Amino acid sequence: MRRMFFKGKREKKEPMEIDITSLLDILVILLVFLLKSYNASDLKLDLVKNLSVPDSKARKLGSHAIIIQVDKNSNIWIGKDMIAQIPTSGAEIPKLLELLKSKKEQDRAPAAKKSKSVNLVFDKDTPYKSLQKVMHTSAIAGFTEFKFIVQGNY
Amino acid sequence: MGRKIAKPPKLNLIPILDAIFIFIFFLLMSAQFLDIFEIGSDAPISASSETHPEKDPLNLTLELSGDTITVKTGINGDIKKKIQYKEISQLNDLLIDIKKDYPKESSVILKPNSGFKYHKIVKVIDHAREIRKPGLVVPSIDDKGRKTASTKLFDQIIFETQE
Repeated sequence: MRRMFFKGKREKKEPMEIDITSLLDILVILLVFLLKSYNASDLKLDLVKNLSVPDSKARKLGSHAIIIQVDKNSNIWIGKDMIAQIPTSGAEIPKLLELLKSKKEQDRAPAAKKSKSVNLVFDKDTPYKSLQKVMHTSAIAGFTEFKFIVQGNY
Repeated sequence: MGRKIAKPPKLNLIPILDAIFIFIFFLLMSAQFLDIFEIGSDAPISASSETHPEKDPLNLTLELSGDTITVKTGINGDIKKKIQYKEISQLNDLLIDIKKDYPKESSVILKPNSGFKYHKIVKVIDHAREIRKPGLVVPSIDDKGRKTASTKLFDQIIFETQE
């Protein structure tokens, strides 16, 4: 009897509610931050170690192409692979030339539509003679449109 | 006395939270925290032309060596001015004056010496490509031959090597 009496009187427990207002605040801030840093460019760049890109006032967004990176120690990188070091003598870099030529051959587009662009990412202290060798080698391999990748400086 | 105060109806925020989470993941995946841009330059191509231009070509050349920028113009490479790298803003002023006389010209030849550092080259390019003073424009002629006002100076960069 007693048991039944209590059972009748007991109120139904409401499900526990979590206050998500603060979580929403954080998410909105995060959203604004991410929207501000959103970049419409299709160029995705993973910088190698020991490479700092120079600042520039340039405002043109980069586009997808082969990326050649040259770090502080004059090592040449394509993607994540170090392929060679800039030689002290000679006008061109044989290993880079070979690789670029093979990339050109792999491009299945018709000859007239084959990409001629190459993204060049140099460390800011790279001397011009190194730039020149990389540009010369790229031009021989058929990549005659150089895109120097720089960091935005507002 | 015993009447309960009606609770305000609660908004169901779960769908909007779901949407925001998806959006955040998408933005996180595509975020690039380094603002990267490009400066274009084409490899020089030699060509012969039979046409004779009305005016002597500008042939604007910037020789970069040590701390000096030598501005040369004309076929004979007459020295227009020598500017110290520290006073690079003078280069922009000079190029604005040259652009006013040659609105059709848009290319500049850079001749750095072998040891000239890349970040210095980029800075010279920045000063050669665009007017740095806000609000200032120069007359320019676009590809279709129309006169326009522009902040662009010499945005076609060509590299040449010093002998």
